[in-house]
Amino acid sequence: MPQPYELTVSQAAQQIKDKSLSPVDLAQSLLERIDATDKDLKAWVTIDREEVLGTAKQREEEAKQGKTLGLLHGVPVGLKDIFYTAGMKTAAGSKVYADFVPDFDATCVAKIKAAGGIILGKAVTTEFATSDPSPTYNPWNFEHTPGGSSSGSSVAVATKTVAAALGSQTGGSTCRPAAYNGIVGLKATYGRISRYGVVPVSWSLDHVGILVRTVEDAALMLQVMSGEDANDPGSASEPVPDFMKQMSEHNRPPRIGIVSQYYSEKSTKEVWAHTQDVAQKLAAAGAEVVELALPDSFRSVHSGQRIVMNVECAAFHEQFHATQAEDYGPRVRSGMEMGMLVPATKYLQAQRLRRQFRQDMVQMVQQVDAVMTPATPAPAPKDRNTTGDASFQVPWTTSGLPTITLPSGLSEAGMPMAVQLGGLPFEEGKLLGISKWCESALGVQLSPPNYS
Amino acid sequence: MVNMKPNDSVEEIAVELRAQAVRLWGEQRAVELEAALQTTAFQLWELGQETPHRDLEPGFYQ
Repeated sequence: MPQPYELTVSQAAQQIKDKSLSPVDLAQSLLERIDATDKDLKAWVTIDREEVLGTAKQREEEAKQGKTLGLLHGVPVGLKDIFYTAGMKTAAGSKVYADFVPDFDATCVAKIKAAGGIILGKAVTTEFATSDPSPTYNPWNFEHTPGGSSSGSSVAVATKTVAAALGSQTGGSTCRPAAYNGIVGLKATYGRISRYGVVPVSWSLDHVGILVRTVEDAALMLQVMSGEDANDPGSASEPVPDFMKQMSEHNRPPRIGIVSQYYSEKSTKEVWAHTQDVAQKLAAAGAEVVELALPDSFRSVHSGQRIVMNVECAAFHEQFHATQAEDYGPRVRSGMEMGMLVPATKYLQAQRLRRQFRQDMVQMVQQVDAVMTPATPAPAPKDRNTTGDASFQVPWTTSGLPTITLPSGLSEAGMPMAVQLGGLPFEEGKLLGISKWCESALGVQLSPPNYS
Repeated sequence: MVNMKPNDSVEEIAVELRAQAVRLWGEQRAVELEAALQTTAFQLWELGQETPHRDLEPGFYQ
């Protein structure tokens, strides 16, 4: 019989629904787990125990009466500390926002609450969700980076102090730490999940990210948070399908495209050999695996992403920078200062090229059911002064196409390895179905030995 | 204002960026930013190698 803290989102939600699990017991179990682990891991920054237990009690009473608010009834969820929470500090890992207490919830936070979810607390983020490392430790090996910028959310999910947490991705900040910590990370299509009430890095690149331990949980969280939001100018009017249904329909051997160009050269030998091994295993299980070529517009995508991100970051922070430049960490500060130097014409050229790249990516992905690459060029580096390498996520973030990271094994050094699958815009249901099939075919579920 | 010509080299772009950094934040800060200036110069140069189709408009919200 697993401890409540070990349950996935879907397991916990089902047990609460059939009254075999008390939301209070679940919340208590997670809070005790945090007490037992977080002095070492430093994944959490703000927990309001009274609020958590009070809400859990309320959800318990409702469940007893057979009233459930939605898919997450009684299930705690963690939030990267850039998501606005009414009445709860949202410091974005920074001195500049150290005392900021929003007076409203981010749209996706409101949706989690409306679905019966309980906000367990705020997880550590790197400063303003950029690349100055956070104090969080990688549970697989304390000498390695946990990645970033959603470091706290990823480590919290990996060590079972919460079953689901929100992250964000402007470059690789959800799928990369997911890979480094051995969990599932989903970045949906740009516009699928509202960014309203999320401290921005770069408005046109930022995505809300989902960190969980199973593909099924990713679908469930996506279902809860998807939908148009008039408060977010980037929000899409696409209808929200039944992702669980679509996931079931597409849970079958897919046609997978592998991209050797760039990815084989950029990856370590071990990572590339592992990715080929994963492809062989999937082919043996029935998938059709074909080679794809990258579009020409790929060659400047990383430079373009950086220019767009730095300029938009500079625009957001300009006023704070004018008076509090010394309060910023070195990397976020230099990034925004670089953004201040970029001529407007170059920013616009980057956005033009980006549009072309998205069109080219769609054409590439249309040839298959999903594209597979390694999730990262190497496992989490043995260096706490970096958050790792986001270069394999950047094409998906820049194009706004959906992508998911699946744990796929361990390196010789005992660190998690992962593959990344990408799909077509607003076809997350199909991507999730393929991912569920891959998850099952690979049969890999990772848990850090000291936190199992 | 940073001035760049379409055919500027990475180093020429870096010189422009550096001069603007000095004007905005002083010599010492510009020295601290040297690695970032070089990286940004390369990124701008790389973007300058691409020729977007004349009818292609920017896509902010994809």
